[in-house]
This record gives sequence, structure tokens and C-alpha cells, in this order.
Amino acid sequence: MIFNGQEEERAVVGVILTDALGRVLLQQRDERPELPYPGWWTLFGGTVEPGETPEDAMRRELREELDLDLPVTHWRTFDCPVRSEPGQVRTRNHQFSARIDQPLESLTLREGQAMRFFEPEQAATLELAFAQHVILRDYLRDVGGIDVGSNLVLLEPETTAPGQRYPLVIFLHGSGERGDDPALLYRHGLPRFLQTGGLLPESAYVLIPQCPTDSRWEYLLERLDGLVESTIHDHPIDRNRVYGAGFSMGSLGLWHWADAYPDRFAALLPVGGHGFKSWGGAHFVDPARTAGRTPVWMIHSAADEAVPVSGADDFSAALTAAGVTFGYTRYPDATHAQTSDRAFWDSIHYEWLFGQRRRAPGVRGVDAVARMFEQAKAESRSAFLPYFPIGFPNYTESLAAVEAMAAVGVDGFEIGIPFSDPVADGAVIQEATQIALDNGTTVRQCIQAVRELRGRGIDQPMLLMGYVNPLLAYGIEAFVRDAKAAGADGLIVPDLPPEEGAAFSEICRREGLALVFFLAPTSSAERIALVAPQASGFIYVVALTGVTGERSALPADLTTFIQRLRAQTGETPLVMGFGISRPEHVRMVRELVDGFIVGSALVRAGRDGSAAVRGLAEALRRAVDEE
Amino acid sequence: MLGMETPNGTPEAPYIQVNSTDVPDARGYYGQYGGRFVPETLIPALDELLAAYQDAMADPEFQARLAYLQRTFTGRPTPITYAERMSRALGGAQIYLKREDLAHTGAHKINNALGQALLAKRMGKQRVVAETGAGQHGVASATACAMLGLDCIVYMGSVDMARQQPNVFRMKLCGAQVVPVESGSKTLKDAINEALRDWVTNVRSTFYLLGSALGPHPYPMIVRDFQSVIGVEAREQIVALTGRLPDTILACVGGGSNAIGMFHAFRDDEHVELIGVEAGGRGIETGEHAARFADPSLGRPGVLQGTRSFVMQNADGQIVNTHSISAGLDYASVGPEHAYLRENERAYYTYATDEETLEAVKMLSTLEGIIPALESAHAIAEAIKRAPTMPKDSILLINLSGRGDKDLGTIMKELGI
Repeated sequence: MIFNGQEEERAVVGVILTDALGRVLLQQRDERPELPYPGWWTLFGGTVEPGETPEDAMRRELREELDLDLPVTHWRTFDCPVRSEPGQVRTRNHQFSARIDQPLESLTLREGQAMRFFEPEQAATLELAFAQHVILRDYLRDVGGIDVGSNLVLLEPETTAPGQRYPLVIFLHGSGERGDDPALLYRHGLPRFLQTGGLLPESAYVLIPQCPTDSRWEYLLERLDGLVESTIHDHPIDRNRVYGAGFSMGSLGLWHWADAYPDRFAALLPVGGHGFKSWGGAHFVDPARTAGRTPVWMIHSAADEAVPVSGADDFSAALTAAGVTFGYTRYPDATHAQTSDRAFWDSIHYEWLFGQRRRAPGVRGVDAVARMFEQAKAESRSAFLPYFPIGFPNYTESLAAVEAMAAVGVDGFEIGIPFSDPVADGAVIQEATQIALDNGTTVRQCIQAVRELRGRGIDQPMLLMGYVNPLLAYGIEAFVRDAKAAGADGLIVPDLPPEEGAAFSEICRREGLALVFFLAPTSSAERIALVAPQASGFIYVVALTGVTGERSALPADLTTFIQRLRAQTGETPLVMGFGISRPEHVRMVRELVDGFIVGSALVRAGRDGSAAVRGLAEALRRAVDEE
Repeated sequence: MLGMETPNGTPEAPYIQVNSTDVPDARGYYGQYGGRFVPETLIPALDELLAAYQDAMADPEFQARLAYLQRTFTGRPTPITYAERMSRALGGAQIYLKREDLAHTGAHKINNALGQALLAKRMGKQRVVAETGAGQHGVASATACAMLGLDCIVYMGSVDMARQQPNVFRMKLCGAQVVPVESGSKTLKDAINEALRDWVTNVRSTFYLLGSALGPHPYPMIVRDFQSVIGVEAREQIVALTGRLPDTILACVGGGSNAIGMFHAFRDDEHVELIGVEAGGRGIETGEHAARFADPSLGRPGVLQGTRSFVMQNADGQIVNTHSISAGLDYASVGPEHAYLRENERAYYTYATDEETLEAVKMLSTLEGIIPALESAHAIAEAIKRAPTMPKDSILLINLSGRGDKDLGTIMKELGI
């Protein structure tokens, strides 16, 4: 859950009461329909009254509910997901523990319909009101050493070729197949398809774990992920082709799993279930964030009597709004169970699934920039780094433009932070960044943009480009850290020559971000010798004296200029910018430098929307390779 | 002693003294202010400028030529005038005016424009670009370039062009090309941005003739040095006239070139109080002003146009639009040396509002027959507040940095004449 700090704060308390044998005392709530969670088991606790400390409140609640005056020990404080709504309310749940030595018979229950001691193993399988089971499970695991187990079946290919690696499909079943009987596993979905003779598009391992009765997949994520890791270790499995399929409750589990472990799956196939807003260990599933990182194809039926289609429709709308690409099969008339049969018997879904490959896991910062150049070099070409400012023509459209360019295979991005006085920029970028400022674009939003773009699965290096004053106003240290946390890889500051950049350099070096410095046609040999060793990531080579902007022609003496630089800059990649706007310019510089930047021309295209940006980026990208 | 040209052209002492204080340091810093925050393309040009400047200052011929032109073209030394009726009317300190309004082109700006134009000529740069706010620096640059046969391009915000029409005509008459700037607030700040963009584009052939004690190193130092003649003369003149140093000196501060030129010679005279007067616009509480030091909610250390100083900015580090009735003070930052003098408490800074400024114009015109520029009238406005609180035998010296002819339109409109 991401809070913005503006929420109204509320506080609740709860206590885990254990006896000498480690048994947990729980209370059963009244069966009154006006109450939330009627009849559910719950921890003792309540709301903190004004003027009370959490500890006072907890002891008062124990007096009121159990007529007991017990010393309590603070254990942890959580955000309560059930009673919080980001932007509105943030409820802090202060959890205490206490030892209770009184026998049950001597206790007086003043609230709720019943209470009893549960063995820790049993307590760990319960689902409690207000999602408190997550708290109790954490407590039992940390304090009581209780683990939550599951059965599993691993289906292997009939034969495996030496040296060959195979995909792994994990299937998470629905709520009816929980328990200890492996036979239950074949009732629905992929296992039934395989048992009745169905064939996958290619040989693969299939892992089918079983969820304990009364538990749910999202409580078992750590264990499930560990299971996959050990399966990959023990068998010839292609780590980049691990697929998740699920039915009903299993689909919910998949969403949570992929959200918590974004590098795990190459793709997901959730059938008859979705990641509805529910407690998931620590947060809700954000569909755009999750599907932005892991490709998803949802399957649901409008006639599903068990899991209403509205949840899947909501997810579909959220993904569409966020611009995330996804698949959605929506049957008009299938029941819940029939959805499973249809979905897992339809070869289209398997073909899509097996066609997906995991994106390279997150190397970030200066290493990601280095890797970008290595990759381009391995393909004997120059890297293409487009510039685009956040907030132009508006926030959403600027992200769409970056995303459109990512889709045509550009190598990295210069993400512009608008400034009121951009002295290094020509008219097109000045005008665009002024529009961005008029739209209220802030430095914080630009950092947030990087986070959102990463959430949509954009893996290319992103360097934030901004003038020095807004960065100073934000605080250099805070800026570098926040930019890094959002997924940025480096920094370009056009009015920061290295002699003014000591503080930036030190922080970037410590945080592993690239800090790009510039060299220009006016740079002397002494100047090159001074600047080159300070640059990290790459050196930004200004193609011509002047500001950014499109030119009909580039200077004729670029080759001499680059040779002069190369003699002193060694292995540091050289990236050329200023004035490059047309495919013929790209053809001119692509042999000369390790990368090139195009800004103004793309920003101008941005006036006509992201499709125009995409079109130009595609043409420029093609010019990198074509004869 | 001022070095003056002798018949054979060699001065007895350099006309401009350099390295006369501990600031700036080698990196162009005045304490924590100053520096060179510019695109890399300009760094070599700034290095070249610094080297050329140091070389020129060490060259007796250059110094002699400048001294000669200052005397015969600018009309230096400018006099000091005792403002007798005004002193009597205010009933406190005796008020003296350093008459930079009597310099050729009507303001102190010519001191620096002439110095830098000579430097451009010496460096072989035929093309000169300049920015201007009130138009005084533009006129001074156009004039100096005309006299030395250099091509002059002046960038001027379109808002400023409208309120300083006579100066636009003067520049054009002297052969300068005046380029209207339509970006941002269309005032001085934006004119500097455009001049910088021109310079970065034509850096090999072009000299940037920066008009105030701001921008990247070495500009704040060069401008201060060329303007220091104001204080050097004033110090000698006031001693000759009154037998002692003044108690208090007032000067208006936009970028701060007339103030720094006046203050510089008095820096080591610890008992002389130095006070800069910023533009209070419509009042600090309105946020519509250019008083960088007076409004902590807007004026904070930051970087604008190549230098670290006090900058009017919002919480996100974007430069805010400023307001002043005087175009020459309507600027979001201030020369780094002023930030430094303020931090060391060697100088103090206050402000005068538009309204107080207009009152000051009226008073000086009616009592002394001198029409001050709106910029300079800010210093007069402070004198009106301060002089009555000072003893009758105290001396208040004001740098009357320019004359008000250029402002007649604005003044007549505002005063309803």
C-alpha cells in the first residue's frame, strides 16, 4: 500500500495472547449482520481512543473484553489494509503480545460469542477477521517456529535431451482442491487437461502444489517461490520460461505471487479469478504494476456464478487505463467450472504462454547503462537514446510517448525534468517544458514517472536530465536516492560542469548511478583530459556549438572531432546529441559514436501524440541498422 | 589615486586595479556563492575570457586606452553633487549624489560596456551580443560598439521593450540589432537566457558583453572591476569635498553592478555602512517584487544563469516571475558578491516599493532638479527614510546610477502628470 502522507491517521490495537504451551487465545465475533466479519475468529483488541497511548488502549480493551489486567508487550506495528484507503485513511495496527496463565474456565468473556485456545499449528491455518491471520502467522513463524506446509506433484517430460532446458509451468488450484489428498489436484484445469491426454505445445515440467485446508496461496508465497527455485535447481529448466497458470483461488494467488516476485514469471494465465483487493501479505495487488512487469492473459466468463466477472473487468479497465498490454478471453456463457475446462483446452492460450520469455532481471544504475552499450556493440550498432520531457503535452501523454518508443526497441531514455530557464535548449524543448511547467509538473512527478514506466515493464536504461537548480531545491542526496529507488539509472545535468559537480559525483558514485558530463567542439585537450575521467556511464558529446534543436545538416568535421576525443577518452562510450533529428543524421553518426540522442524532433512529434513519436522513433531506429 | 593617461599614453598607475580583494577565489567563488554553472561548450570561452582579461589588465597600453576613453568619451570623472535642499528638507544627514547619470549614455553601464568592448576588440571578436533590462546596458553596449566598430546584437524582453521605448530607439540609432525576447517573463532574465543561447551557438566568433555583476565566473569579477571606478572616484571626491569618508552609502541593487562598483572601494573602510536597496515592487507580502534578500519564502540560495546566489524560486526550484516598476531591477537573482557581502555582514540590504520609488523621483526632481532613473530612485527612497534618523553632521552618499529620461513614459503615467 502506498500512502501519500495526507491520510487521516487512525490507530487500532490487538494482542496475541499465548499460554505456557504456546496455544493462542482467540475470540469469536458476534453473529450480527451489521457487524463486519460476523462470526469470524479474531484477536482481542479495539480502537485507540483520543488521548490514549496504544498500550493504554490495549490494557483497557483487555479489561473491557476479558476483565483482565495484564501487562502487554509491543511486538510490531502494521498498516491495516482492511481499514485503510490510500489518500483517505491510514489505520495503524499496534500489535502486542501477552502471556496468559489463567485457565479458560476462570475467564469472563464480555464481548463476542465465544473464545478458545488454539494449538499453534491449527491457529496458523485459520483465516481471521480484518486479515489478522497474516499477523498471527508472522508471529507464529517468528516466535513459535511454525511452518505452513503443502503437498505437491511434479510432472516431468518423458524424455529430456542433454544440454536442453525446458519450460516450467506452475499450476495453482482453486479452493475446493485444498487439503491432503493429491487426487483432488486433477479435478480441474491444467492437471485434468494433461491427465486426459492433452498435450502442451512443447515438452515442459509442470509443478502442481497443494494448498492446505483453510489456507490460501497468498499466505504461502515465500514457500512457493522457494519451491520453484529448488525445482529449477534440480532439473534442466529454463529460468526465463517459468509460467504461472491458475484457477479461481489459484489465479488470485498468481497475481499476488507475481506482484511480490516481479522477476519470477515469464507470463501468467489466471483463469476464473483475479487479484481482487485483498490482503496479500503486505499490500493490495496493483494490476498495472504487476501486469506491467509480467505479461498476463486473463480468462473469465460473464456467467461465472462463483467469482463475478466484474472483478476481471475492473482489472481489464485498470490495465487499459494504464496503457499496459494484456490478453483477456471473456466467455459469454460458461459456469465457473466450465471456464476452467474451456480455458485449459484452448491451445491459443498455451501458444501465447509458451511464446513469452522473461525480461532480463533488474540490473540498474551505471551497470545497466554499461550493459546497454555492450549489447549495442555486440550487435555492431550505435545505441539510440531518445529524449522526452515529463509533463508534455501532459503527464499521461508523456509516459505514453516514452512507452511507445520503448516498444520500437530504442536502447535507453533521457527523461527530461522541466525547468523555467533551460539555457542549453532550443525553442522546441523550451516551449514543451514550459507547457509541462504550466501543467504543474514537478521534480517529484518526474521521479514518479520513472517508477510508473518501470511498473509498465520498461527495462531500458533511463537517465534523468534536468538543470541544476530544481535538483538543488529537491536536495541532491534525496534526489539521487529517490531517482534510484524509482528505477532511474543515471543523471544528466547540462549546466553542471565537473568542477561544480563534486557533490553530485560523490553521491552518484555511492548509489551506483551514472553521472554524465559533456564535451563540446570547443573542448581543448586539457579540458578533455579533465572531463573524461569524471564522467560515468558515457560522455555526452555535443555535436555542434549551440543549443538543442533540429538542424538540416550536421557539421562536416564530426569525424575529426570524434577522433580527437577518442584519442583521450579511451573506452568510455561517446554519445552524440544536439541537432540529430533525421534518419540521414543517424546514418551519418552511427559508425562514429557508441550512441546518439534525439530530442527536439521527437518532442515536436509529441505535439501530435504518442503515435507520431512512435513513428519517428521507429524510423530513426531503423536508420541505425539499414544500409 | 586614479591612474590617468599621460601624454605618451602610459598611465602612472593602472586605471583598473585587479585582485584587490580576496574574492573571488580561483574557482570564481565568493564564499559559497558564484562559480560557473554553464553548458560545457561555454567553459573554454570563459577560460579564454579570463585569460584575455588578466592579460589586458596587465597591459599598460590597454589600461591607458581605457582611461583615455573614460575621460574623453564617457566624460569621467563624474562629479559629486551636494543635495542641499533635499538634505534640509529631510532634516538629517547631509546627502551627496555620485552623478553616474551624467556619464555618457546616462548611466553607469557605460563603464563596463566600454571596458568589455575594448576587450572584445583585443580578443579579435567582431560580433558582440548583450542582454538588457532597462535598456541602459543595451544603449551603453551599442554606443561602445559603434565607437569601436563592432557589430552589436542586443537581446531585450518584449515587456521591457514596451516600457523602455526611447532606449530601443537609441540602440537602433547606434546601429545595434535589437532582438525581442518572447520567452518566459519577457524581461531581463529571459534576455540573458537568449544571449547565452546566442553565445553558445556562435561562441568562436562572438563576445558576450554581460551587463551586470552576475553570470558565470569571471563576469561578476570583470563587471565589478570595470565599475569599481565609481567608488574609487567617489571616495577621493567626498574626502576632497568634506574632509572625511561618508557614514553611509546607498545604491540600488538589481544584478548589482552599480552597487558593487560603488561599494568596492569602501570595503576596507569598516566604519562606512554599505546598504543595497532592492526592488520591493508592490510590497513583499504580495510576492510581486524582486527583493531576493527580503523574502525568505521566495529568495533562497540557488543557481541561475551560471552563478550560485540568492534566487527567487518556488519550492520546486522553478524561477518565479519578479516585478518591479524599474526594468533594471526586475531580476530573479543577484550578483554573487552581494550574497557574500550580506552573509559576512559587510553590507546590508533593504528594499523600496514602487510607490516609495515614485515619491523619491518626485522629490529629487522638485528639490534638486535631477530626474533619477527609476532604478536609482530606489536608493533615493531609502535615503528619504534613513536621512531624518541620522545626525545633521553625518554624510549619506548615494550612487545616482542613471538618469530618468528613459522612464518619463512610466513616471508620467504613474504620477498622472
